[in-house]
Amino acid sequence: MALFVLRRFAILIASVFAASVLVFVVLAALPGDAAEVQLGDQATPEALAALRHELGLDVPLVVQYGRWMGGVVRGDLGTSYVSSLPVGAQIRDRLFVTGPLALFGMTLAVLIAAPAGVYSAAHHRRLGDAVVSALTQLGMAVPAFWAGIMLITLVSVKLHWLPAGGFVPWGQDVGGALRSLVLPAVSIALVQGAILTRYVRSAVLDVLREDYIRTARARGRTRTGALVRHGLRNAAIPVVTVLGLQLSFLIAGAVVVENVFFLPGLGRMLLRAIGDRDLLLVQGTVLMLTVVVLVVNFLVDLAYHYLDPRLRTAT
Amino acid sequence: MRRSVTTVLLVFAVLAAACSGGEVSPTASPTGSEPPAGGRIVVGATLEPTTLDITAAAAAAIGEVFLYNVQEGLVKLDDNGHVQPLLAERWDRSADGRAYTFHLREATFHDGSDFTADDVVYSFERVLDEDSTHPFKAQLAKVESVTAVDDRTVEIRLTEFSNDFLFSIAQAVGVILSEESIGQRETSPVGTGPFQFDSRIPGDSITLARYDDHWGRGALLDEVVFKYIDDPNALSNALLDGQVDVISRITAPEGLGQFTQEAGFTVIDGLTNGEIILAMNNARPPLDDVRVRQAITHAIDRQGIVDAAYAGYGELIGSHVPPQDPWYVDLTDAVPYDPARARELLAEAGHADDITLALRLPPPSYARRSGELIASQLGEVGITVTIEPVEFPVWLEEVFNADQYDLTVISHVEPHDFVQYGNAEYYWNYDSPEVREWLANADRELDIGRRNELYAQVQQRITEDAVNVWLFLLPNLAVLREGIDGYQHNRISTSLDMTAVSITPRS
Repeated sequence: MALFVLRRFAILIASVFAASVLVFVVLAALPGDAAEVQLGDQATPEALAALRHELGLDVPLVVQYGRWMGGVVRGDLGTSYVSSLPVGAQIRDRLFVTGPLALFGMTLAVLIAAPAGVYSAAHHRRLGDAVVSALTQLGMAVPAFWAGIMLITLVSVKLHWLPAGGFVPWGQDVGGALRSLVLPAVSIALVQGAILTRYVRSAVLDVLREDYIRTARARGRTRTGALVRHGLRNAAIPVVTVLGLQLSFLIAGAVVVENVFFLPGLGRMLLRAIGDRDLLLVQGTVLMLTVVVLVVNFLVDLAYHYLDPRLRTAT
Repeated sequence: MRRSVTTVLLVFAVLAAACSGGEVSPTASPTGSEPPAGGRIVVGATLEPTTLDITAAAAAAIGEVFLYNVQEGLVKLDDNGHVQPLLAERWDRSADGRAYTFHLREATFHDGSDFTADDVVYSFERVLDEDSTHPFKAQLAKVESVTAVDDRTVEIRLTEFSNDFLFSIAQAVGVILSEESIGQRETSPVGTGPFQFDSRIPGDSITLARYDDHWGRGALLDEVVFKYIDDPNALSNALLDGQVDVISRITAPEGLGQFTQEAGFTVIDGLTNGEIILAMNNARPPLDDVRVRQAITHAIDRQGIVDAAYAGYGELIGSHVPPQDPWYVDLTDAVPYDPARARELLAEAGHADDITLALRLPPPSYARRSGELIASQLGEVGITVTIEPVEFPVWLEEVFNADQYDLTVISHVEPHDFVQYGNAEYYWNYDSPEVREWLANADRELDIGRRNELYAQVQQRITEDAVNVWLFLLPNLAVLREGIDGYQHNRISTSLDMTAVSITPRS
């Protein structure tokens, strides 16, 4: 197990380094720089040159990369070109919105998907299955932003139950912060829950066809009893894989939901930073997201080991 | 790994916006009685300033919050674009027009220090400094020296008289900062205005609070919150939901229909300085042929574009000058919509049906929406247009700075920016020595009548030369909930001037 963790950790470090080069090169290739965007259409060439010098944009790219990574290994992501605020602190502040949003949304999605998927599989080819399948088709067809707009129209504008958007900082009012995340999390959960339900359903169906279920039933267990006792744990393995992928995607995909509910999250910040060519902020954020994705993958691997003892001997 | 990073970037490249139908009501005028003092107003705005330092970046979003509200200059622009006293209570001009003597008011900065002539000298010299990175440094190009005569008097000398000088310093380039607190300009900016900076939540809002020791009447409101919501639909919902009291800029005017008077809303439909133009690269064949440019102008149904792209809001213009400027000449019908004439001109130029042009469109909704219509209208006279949407930094670098384009649509928001027709290097590459000379003479002309004549000549000439197609004037569209008075009708400078605004609490 220790060796497994160590090897995974080495891969993680190598991946982060590769990502840093990739991100830097891709962004450096984009036309336009922070100085141009900041000074706009009346800038004199002298002012542009002075600002580029001040921001360190007038040195070769290799040097710029070296300076950036030199800071990163010391835990310093640098200072934003545009706002002059530290990149690390900006990412942290936004992560306190996007992180809980993604977790909240995913938890709701699992709470919807697990019972719905199992129910649907247990009622395979019966009315209940057909209804659940139809609902998941609908859920997958609806984009999260549209679900968000509909929820706002109904719950906020018509019924005034929850705010139409915005975010109350955690430090100010924890209850208020949670309230501002309810509708965004629900609109994420509706879509992600629908996708997940289908995976749960097919995973459970696969398991039901396994020999050990037949054996259990031959030994007198009911179909449901056999499923609960022997099936769910096995069905969880493919579902956890999908969950891991979805969570990684969610943190990135939150931008759309953040826009609809005007939440000060990571997605909106990143989108804006690309538009401003605030590259240190973009690099820092993407690097951080890469780490999150890798850590999630790592945890998924660990979860396999927990769920399936056969994998433990294999590694 | 590669996949997840690419996915992240791809996902961020996708955004959505939508809205719904339109109607206008007249704007509220202040009532005869004394406006109510106190209260808090939440302004829903679209673009958040990334820095709070008005001297660091050109973004209009900074001036929207800080100009006149928090930071003041010697003079300001009123709602009609006229220069009015602000920190200078009056000024004298020398006979040759080269020296201005400003007599300063007694005022204090929000940091407690006194406002003196030295602050004026300091602020101007910061812009003029050799290493200055000020975005609007060019606006002070004619300033020769700034000297404190005494504590309450400043003399500014120019290399030659400039008609635009007072107008320029009434805007962001002219704000007076306190040297003592210059270090906090990015995090907690200080000025002499009726509001002081209170707090900021990045990604969410900026809050200003009334400054009780203001030299003048002071602000009526206790607090102004600028709340940033970039999605037009979300912004509408926030107003309907009561989270914001004002939408300061409507970018999807077809959605104005839901804000009726019966529902308790007022729609402001005023003027801005934003001439929306179809810019043409005059240096690139076949656009270097005036007949081709005239043909393009004749081929475009500008009213059709305003109706379809901007729900009919926005005045038509025929040249690069908005109607509120004193030298405005109405050239709206000088080159009318006439596709038949367009075809004739193209045939004369030897270009019937063989022109293909690239139209590169920046992100704003007016550009993207107009662009589609322009492409189809030009298609009808035999010009093939390929549309390429670009993000703003790409537009700045490739279109604006490197002239890599045939056609583009952009709003020129700076006041008096038609002087750029005298700049042969400017991105539309129009080179007319006569226009250049008229513009230079006009700026140094002391006689107002003579100056206006020269500016009129310029407008006539650029219209004849069909340098660009002037589509329409970007309207100042805002929505207010009932009970708000004193809101500005026009948007001449970048400021969203909240100093005279009052609010009656919801009943």
